[in-house]
Amino acid sequence: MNRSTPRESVSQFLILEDSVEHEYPEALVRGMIDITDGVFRGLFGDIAMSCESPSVVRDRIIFGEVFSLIPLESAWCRGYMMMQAEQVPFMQLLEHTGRCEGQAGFRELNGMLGELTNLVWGAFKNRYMGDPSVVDRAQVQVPLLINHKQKYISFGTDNPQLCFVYRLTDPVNGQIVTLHQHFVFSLNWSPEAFREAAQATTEPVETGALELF
Amino acid sequence: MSKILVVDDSSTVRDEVAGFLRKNGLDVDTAVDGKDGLAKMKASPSVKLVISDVNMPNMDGLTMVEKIRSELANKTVNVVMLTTESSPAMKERGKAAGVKGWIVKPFKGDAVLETFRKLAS
Repeated sequence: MNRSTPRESVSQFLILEDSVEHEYPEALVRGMIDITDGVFRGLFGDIAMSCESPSVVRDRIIFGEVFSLIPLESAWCRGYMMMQAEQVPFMQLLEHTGRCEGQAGFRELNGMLGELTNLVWGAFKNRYMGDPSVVDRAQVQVPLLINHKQKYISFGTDNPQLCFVYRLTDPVNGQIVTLHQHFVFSLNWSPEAFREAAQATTEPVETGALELF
Repeated sequence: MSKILVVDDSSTVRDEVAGFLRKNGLDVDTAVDGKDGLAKMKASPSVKLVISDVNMPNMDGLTMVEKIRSELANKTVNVVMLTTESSPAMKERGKAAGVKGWIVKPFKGDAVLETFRKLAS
């Protein structure tokens, strides 16, 4: 996998170098890590975990053996988020962290990967997607192409993918479980219009607590 | 007859929430989306508490609640949303549909068990 690494932070944008520089709002990049870290800890408890420096990839190779895919839509960006993992280490992690009763199979893996993706997407949506009513409903769509044999996915564009790699340490066998998180803003990328939801900047959302009306 | 209905397209969440409530002595049934939830409510009018996700295929959770109130004319069942959504607009829609409470995922059973017991009694 051909990766590029962060060069420097200019004002509020993080510039990730590739053959062409790509600017991502620094608040967005930090927020993605913060959100995902929080989701992992909510699901797996006080697990040892690390995240590599964010990078940009241009290849279309799918890491691992299972991945989730969910659309991201807002007035300033449209694309997809992918979470990619290898089956066996992830299933063992589910067993060893008490996330499933008995032996974990591919259904438990699918369920947990789906829920993990849903939780990250939800928090991302609440913090960065803004008012859904301003999203143009007459949207362009482009076919995604997936080649299972070649472990290849194309979003119909040469746009780069913003990549985060998380490494969780299995508390029982010490195995490193690697999850790749990719963001590809294939349909719209307008970082000059990026802003965090006002609610997110003023009051943190308390998870798990019941708010009675 | 079940007293609590858990509605979520995620089997992980259904298993976690329903499993926790059953372990604590509560009667629980589950549904996989809003359409399934509505059908189960129609078949089981004795359900006292619905715990539902918002974002689900076939029918979302808030539409399901609106239809429970209108099509099934059930104004009494307590509904708590368990969802990743936290926007004020979404909560307002929930309130207008008669949603009683809102929990932003992840589920923390110990924090809500006694309230759920009261709402289901």
